Amino acid sequence: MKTDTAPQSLKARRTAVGGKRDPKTAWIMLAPIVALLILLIAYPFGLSFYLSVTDRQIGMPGKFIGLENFLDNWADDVFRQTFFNSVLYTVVTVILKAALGLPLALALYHVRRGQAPLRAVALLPWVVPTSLSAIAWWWIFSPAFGPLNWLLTASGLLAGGIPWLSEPMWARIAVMLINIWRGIPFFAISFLAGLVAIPRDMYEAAAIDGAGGWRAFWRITLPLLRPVLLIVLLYSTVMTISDFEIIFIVTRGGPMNSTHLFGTLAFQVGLAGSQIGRAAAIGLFIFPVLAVSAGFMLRDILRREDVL
Amino acid sequence: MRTTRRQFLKTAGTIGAGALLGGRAVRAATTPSIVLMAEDHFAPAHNEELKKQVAAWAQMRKVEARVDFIASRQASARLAAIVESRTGPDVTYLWRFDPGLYRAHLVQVDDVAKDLETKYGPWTDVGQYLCRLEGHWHAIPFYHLTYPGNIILSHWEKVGIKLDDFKTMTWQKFLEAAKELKKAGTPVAFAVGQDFDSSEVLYPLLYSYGGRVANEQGKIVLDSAEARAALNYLLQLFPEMPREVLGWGGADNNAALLARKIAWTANPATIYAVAKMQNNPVADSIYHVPIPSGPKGRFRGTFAISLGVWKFSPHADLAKDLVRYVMQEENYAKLVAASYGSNEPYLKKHAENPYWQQVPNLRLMEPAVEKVLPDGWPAPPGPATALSITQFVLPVAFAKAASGRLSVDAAIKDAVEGFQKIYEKTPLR
Amino acid sequence: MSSDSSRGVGTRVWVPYLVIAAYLVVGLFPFFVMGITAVKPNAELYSGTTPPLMVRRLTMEHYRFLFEQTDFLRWFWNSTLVAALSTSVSVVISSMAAYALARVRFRGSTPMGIAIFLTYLVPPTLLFIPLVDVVARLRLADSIWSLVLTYPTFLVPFSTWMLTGYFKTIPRELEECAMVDGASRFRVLLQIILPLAVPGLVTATLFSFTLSWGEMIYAVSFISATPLKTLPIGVATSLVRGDVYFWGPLMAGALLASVPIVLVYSFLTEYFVSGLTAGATKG
Repeated sequence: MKTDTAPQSLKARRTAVGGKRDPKTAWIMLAPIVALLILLIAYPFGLSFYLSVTDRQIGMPGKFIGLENFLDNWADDVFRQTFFNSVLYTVVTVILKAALGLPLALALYHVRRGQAPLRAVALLPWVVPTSLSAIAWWWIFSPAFGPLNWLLTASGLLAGGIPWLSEPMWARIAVMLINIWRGIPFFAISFLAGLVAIPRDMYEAAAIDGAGGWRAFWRITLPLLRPVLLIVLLYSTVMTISDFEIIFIVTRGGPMNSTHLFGTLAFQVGLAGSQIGRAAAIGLFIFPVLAVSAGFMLRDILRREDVL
Repeated sequence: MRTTRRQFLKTAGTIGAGALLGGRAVRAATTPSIVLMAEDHFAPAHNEELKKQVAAWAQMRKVEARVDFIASRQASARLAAIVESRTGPDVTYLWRFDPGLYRAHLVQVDDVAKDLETKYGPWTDVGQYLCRLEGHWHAIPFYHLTYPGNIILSHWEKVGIKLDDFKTMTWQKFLEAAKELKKAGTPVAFAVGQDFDSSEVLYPLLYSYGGRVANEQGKIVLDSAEARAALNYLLQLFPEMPREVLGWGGADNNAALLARKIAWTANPATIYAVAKMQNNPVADSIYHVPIPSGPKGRFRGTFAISLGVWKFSPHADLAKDLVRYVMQEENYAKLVAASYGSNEPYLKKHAENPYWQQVPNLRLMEPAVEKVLPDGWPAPPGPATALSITQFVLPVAFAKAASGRLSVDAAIKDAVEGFQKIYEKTPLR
Repeated sequence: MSSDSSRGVGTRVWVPYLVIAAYLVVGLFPFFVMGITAVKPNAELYSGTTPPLMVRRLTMEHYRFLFEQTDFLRWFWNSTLVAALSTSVSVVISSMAAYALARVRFRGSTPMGIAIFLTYLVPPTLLFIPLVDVVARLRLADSIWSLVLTYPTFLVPFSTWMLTGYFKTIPRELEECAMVDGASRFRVLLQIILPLAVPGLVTATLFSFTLSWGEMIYAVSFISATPLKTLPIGVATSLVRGDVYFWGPLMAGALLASVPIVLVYSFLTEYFVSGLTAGATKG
């Protein structure tokens, strides 16, 4: 029985399929998605570009000012701080989510009994609306009333509580912790899916050759997880750098702008401060990240050819 | 979901789906319908009272009317949508500098303002500053929440200070008391950093030392000896406060006061009001006192709410009338009562309401002995000032100095730069 | 045992359970806190003397407040409606698109796939400001239709990509037979592919439902009339008024807002995993 799991070139596969080219049906089927993407993604995206080169304010017509918004942003301390925050936040959390998600995936893979409920429960942090779990976390990190500091001091681990939300370093750690808490299940479940797809006989064959345990892990598991890893890394990078709720609810960008991300700063400038031209310019700084990540992914995907 | 009739939009070149599904009701020329968008008040009784008044007005005028409530956090997004689309409620709450931001879209209400002034006495400085723009009223000041000191009286009495001592309290005396209070384990505390709770203390502090951020022409004048004096004072006060105030948001001081962990914070009377609402015995211990005076004056910060009628409304005159109605003395007084006294007025006659004098905890709050003014005064109340407030330029710079990250001079310079960038690039009016 | 070494890691049965337990302690801690706060009376919550994790007297007052003094049930309904509608819309759109990309030969197939994949990467934070404009001009502000319209923008790309992978695992012979018999592509999709792709569809549905349910930035920007809000927004904004946080009802609401999703997931996790499997690991 012919399956599509063996790598083949795109073109070869196309010609191998029975059936003629059918662009009409294809485009009819694609029409809704194309409409959606053009009108609700491409158009606002374009509008974003347009706004960013004007001095538009809410309710007022704007005039073209070229790259002034971008230059002003770059000259602005708060913006530069935000840029730094966003990069730090994204790099640290994505790496940790991947690193911590894998052991959980392996553990979930290996349990014998209670698989389904355990997997469901493990997913909880990701499944719960962030706007609500963030509020719970804010309470947890509260220096005076939060359970976390209480636990740390009551158990004798620390003399005083940790200044979670009042010191830039700790505030960053706090919001990163929340992001990682939320993201691990997603990485874990994706890795799990990847693990489940690895055929058992590969491990058995390796065992016969005398390679068990760690070597099998390095030589078989990790390489075969690579496609999953890349997809999830990419998605997570994009979603993390544009994170909003956690910061908005827990720190509002502070203390002293140390946890502002592009999204929260854009909201502050554009909606609270009504300068939507500048806000659009802030948001667009996410775009280079997107482009670079997409570039990496595409290079890898096109090599693999049949993921798309 | 709206139960109003939908109209099929024929909008060429726009989304088919949206065109079929979207729609704002367009009523045939029958009964006019007015919508008031109000903030969801923390006291449900206030929401109810407002709904009642709007309904009563509607019946009187034989029209339809309703109130839509929104959360304060969403106000900016909602107003942005309203202004951009030129559709929405006929009359809405406006917060802080919104009248200045959206002046071009608001109906001039000079007639209503003059009527109310004739009946109820002069408007306060705050009201005029925010709503009377270039000589014309673009919004009617509705109520504001000032930021007096909220104290746990018993903590102060332990260090020898009585309630009435606050009438003549200066920042210096305050500092001495703060030291004692810290020793007693019940310090003073207010947010220092990225929150409005912080700016509503730091701006009055600055003003009381004679400092200003920008003058009436919008020129940045923060670089002054007076401003440095104010910041130096903060540097003396800061060590007497818990360090966590650097990360405090709007509700942290509320929680700390309710738990009696602190002796003083600056806040609207909401802490007391909610405690009363929830039958929390702490309420009886909370008193409201004037902000201490500085060498160059005595000021109190405020969070101002006004009512604006939008130009796109087909019933602007009716909307103006609704505004007049809720501003009537009896109606206004009912709202004050429903808010447990936290709604504070802008008109002399409204301020003569005995409500505050009759509640011991509120006796020193209204009428205010300080000059009550919003952050940003006296700069032109427009986009530049608004943005500088939402960016927390001043509180963040002061926080950097207080936490030791910047010297006083560097912090002032940092703030000046931040303000200048904003005032250069953002329209003044 | 050969099966142990064949899995490459761990030879003791209890190790995985221990690892999972460690993750669950951290993972479930916030829910524990929510649960405690939701049944702790105001007097204890605000007193500062009761330790944060203890309750002296249980109370239902917060749940009562939630149901009687807020529009909680309406928000629940709104969220369900919005999630159901946007999920349906996006599953329909992505199934069609995925099938076209996976099976139909036509010029532009690869660029189209790439384009869809790229839009997968455009986050709502980038779009919400211009979308406030678009939604307002379409007069959809303060209407759940604004969400039903905009949510598919972040639901469809992932679902399409995932379903494309999934559809490719379905043997072609079935379709070929049907088409030889004269069936159109649409019929093939409806009657052959979709029934076989149930795990993939379930995954796409769950993923979409989850994202819709928890979405915040669009919901905050487009809807502000209290009865129209979606659940997370209603809870987060109506129980936080100015500087007043109604902690008890807030946490109660947070817990209740998570329940439906968790129930759905616990029943359907197997599908979710297997759906992701096929979609994620082509190659």
